[in-house]
Amino acid sequence: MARRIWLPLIGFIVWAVAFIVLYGAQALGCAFGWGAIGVGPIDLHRLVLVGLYLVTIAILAQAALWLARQDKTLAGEGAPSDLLGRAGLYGGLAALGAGIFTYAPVLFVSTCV
Amino acid sequence: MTQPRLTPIRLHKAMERIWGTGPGWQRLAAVNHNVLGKRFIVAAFVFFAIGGLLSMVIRAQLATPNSAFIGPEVYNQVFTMHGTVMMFLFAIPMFEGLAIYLLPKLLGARDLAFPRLTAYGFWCYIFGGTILVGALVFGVAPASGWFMYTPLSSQPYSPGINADVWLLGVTFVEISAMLAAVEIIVTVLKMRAPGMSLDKMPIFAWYMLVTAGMMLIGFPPLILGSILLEMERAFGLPFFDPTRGGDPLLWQHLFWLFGHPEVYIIFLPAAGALSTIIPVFARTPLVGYRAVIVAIVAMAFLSFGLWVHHMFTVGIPHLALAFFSAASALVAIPTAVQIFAWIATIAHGKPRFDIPMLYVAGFFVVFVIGGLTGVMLAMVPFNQQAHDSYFVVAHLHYVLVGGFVFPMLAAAYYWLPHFSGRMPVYRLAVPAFWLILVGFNLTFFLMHLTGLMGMPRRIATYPSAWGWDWLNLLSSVGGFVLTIGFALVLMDIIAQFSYGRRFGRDPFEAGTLEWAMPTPAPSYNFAAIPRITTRADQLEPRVLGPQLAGGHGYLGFVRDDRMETLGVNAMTGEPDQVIILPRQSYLPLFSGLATGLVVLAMLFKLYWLAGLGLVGVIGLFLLWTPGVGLKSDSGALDIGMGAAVPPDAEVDNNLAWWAMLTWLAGDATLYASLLFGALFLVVVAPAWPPQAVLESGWLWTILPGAGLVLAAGGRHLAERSPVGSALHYGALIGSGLSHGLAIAGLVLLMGALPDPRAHAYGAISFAILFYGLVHCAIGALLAFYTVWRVKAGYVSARRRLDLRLGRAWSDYTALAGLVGLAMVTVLPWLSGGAG
Repeated sequence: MARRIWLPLIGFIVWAVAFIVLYGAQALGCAFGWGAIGVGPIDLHRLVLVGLYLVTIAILAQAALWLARQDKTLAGEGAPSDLLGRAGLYGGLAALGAGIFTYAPVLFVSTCV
Repeated sequence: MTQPRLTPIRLHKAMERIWGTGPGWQRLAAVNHNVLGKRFIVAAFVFFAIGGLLSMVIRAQLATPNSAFIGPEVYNQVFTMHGTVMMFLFAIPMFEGLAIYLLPKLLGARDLAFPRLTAYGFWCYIFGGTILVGALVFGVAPASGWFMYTPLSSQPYSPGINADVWLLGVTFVEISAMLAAVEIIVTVLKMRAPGMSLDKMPIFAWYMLVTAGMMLIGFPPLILGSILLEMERAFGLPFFDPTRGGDPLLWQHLFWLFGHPEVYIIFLPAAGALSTIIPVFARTPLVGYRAVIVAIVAMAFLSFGLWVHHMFTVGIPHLALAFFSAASALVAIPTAVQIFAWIATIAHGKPRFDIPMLYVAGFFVVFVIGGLTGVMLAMVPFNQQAHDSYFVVAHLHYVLVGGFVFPMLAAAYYWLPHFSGRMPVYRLAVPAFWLILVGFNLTFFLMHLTGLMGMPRRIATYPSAWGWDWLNLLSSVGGFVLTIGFALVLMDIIAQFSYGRRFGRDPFEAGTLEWAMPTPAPSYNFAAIPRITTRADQLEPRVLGPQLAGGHGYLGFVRDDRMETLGVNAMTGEPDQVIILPRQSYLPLFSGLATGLVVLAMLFKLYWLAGLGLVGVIGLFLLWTPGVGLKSDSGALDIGMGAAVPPDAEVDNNLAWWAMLTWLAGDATLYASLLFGALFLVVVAPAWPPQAVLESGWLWTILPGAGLVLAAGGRHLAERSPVGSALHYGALIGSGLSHGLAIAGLVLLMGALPDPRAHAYGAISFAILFYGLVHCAIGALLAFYTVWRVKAGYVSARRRLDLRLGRAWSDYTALAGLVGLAMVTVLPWLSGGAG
């Protein structure tokens, strides 16, 4: 039961891990010259970053859906689980929105300049 | 066995005898949160006055162009110390003090989780602060800015002890902050009144829980950065020297990884105070309790994704800037959620305007302006124009004074009656508020203009005829008006303690537990601990208070002269243990003095003395423990209200266990920052790859790796084997010896590294291994200490805490050590690849 205390944090934990991974991938790509390797119409660096972005959004969306189900389940249990369930859902949705917005620059901003 | 009931007066006297702090010299042995909370607040206020005086010197210097009031050398020390004092010695300790004093009361506990740690933290704060301020008096204060940027703070450019004073002094003070973070987390989660499930917690406790979590993650990067820079300055390990594979930007990353969350660490407790005060004066519950909880969680996480907005001009690629710019703008949303919740609360209620509400109104005006300029600075193009100009000085003061000082003044006028038992004398409070509001805006609003007109920060003087003269003069006039306002507040507080009208319970008709006790608060807070059945900010203290004073509730008695309070399930708030707290002791003071000796010895490069001091610190810490715990199993204890629960020593998940997990989380953050530093240098720093690397690295890792695994295995075996059996002792001693084996292996590996002074590769590898070595040494000490605890009778099949703590430490050490060994093995390959 004590594990439910993590519910409000789950969405933003995913967001934070994605931040580290994307920032790291951006730095590594510049250091190792991924931008010089062409992959179809784009370069490897962009491909990796966009791929990570999409994976991040997918995971955040999945987390939000899971948190919505938790919210529904916990609502029937009463206090304090219902608070954590609802806070988890709000947190998951906020993290999804934050993820879409914060990492969207991988789609159009120059990677190593 | 049911405990005999005492009359309220006898109960009060019996409790006071046990929980109270003695007179005279015994005050130095105080561990009570009431005493220490007040001491923190008073000390923070003294440092605020010192920081304020320094700001007066700054404004006097800048009032006119070409000023010769103080030269640039002194000016550099003054502005550095102004920032350092205000951030590290005022803001953080002030909210720590407020939390130390208030949290147990709001939660329905009799003290914090670890009273002696509170006392030790206080002494670390005082001694560290004294070193910093003393350096100013002797003219050797830090002079590189409160952010200590390298290479300015590196040995060649700051050859004196000035920078060392900052690095060692601030780290000393940060011990206090880390301890406070652990205490707050454990207290909020485990020491609430029975029935106070998470959804019934007062909102201030949520704020402090999130803040403490942020401190736990936010402070280690600064502590690590300070240690690395001190190692560079003292021993020549070039972490930040670009000519030897280091990078000054690594310092900036580590500093701002702490520095930006720090702004929110300061803001959130103040926001917690606002979320407590506004509903009281609006006479309605806080609107959006759940939304506010989510907002502070969101703010906490987002605040860790902003740090690079302090580094927008250092040449980082646009994409990275865009991440941080987006997150910087985004953090305005959870902030706005709280602001709208407060406005909605006022709009929904029937507000009455008292002095605290004046400061709340001041907060709204000042903080919102600071927030808006913050969004401006989050935009990269604008930031690059305004960077390091007075616009930034204006912005940060609007955020910090608006977001912390105004709410703290509201909090002061709201809670001072709790400290004094008297109501404020309003005659001075109103003009004081207006002087502060007008003085503040006169001082800092104009700095937006001087900044936009191009005036850079940190300049000791400026030529005339650039259009800055009259703006600076007015700013200086405003600064002095502001100071007069604060002086009036001080006089008002003195007047309140001397002449204020005494009151009964709950003068503001609040709904939180701190008002359900006599004021000034007794040392034990509650003669009996209440059962909470509704949200703990909608209680009736006037009704509840007399019942508790009469001993009607949990633990409304004295047992064996012990300091007892209740521990609860973190989620449900149902009681699950009787917590027996340690009594008053001089050991925290002596431990603080010994720690101070270590710091001073390092400052003056007397490393043999620092080593002796360290042995003293360890010895004193070990002296804390005899008497802590039980020597026999007692089973469930009566807690009143027809309930019985075991003592904390017989519960697996007790306070010490939670504290260990919490501490390890902070420790892991420091380690992760170190590993980040290693990767950062490999990928970004110039002068890589190094000329010499570790040869056949994996061979060198076998011995320490085996030691680490065996040590952890020994602790697991010790936990599973019968207590006191030969196997049990053998496993513990084996674990200690295995830690020794790991230490030997690590020393050999460190010896095999290329000279750590030659290149950052060697330096960072050395630091990673040294981290493992320190943890192994502590692991060995814990193993042999546990042997003593078992022999002394503190451990049994039911009292397994020592075994669990040691196992957790060894597990973490093994994991971190193995990761470190892998890193040291891989670094040569990585550096070649990246180079």
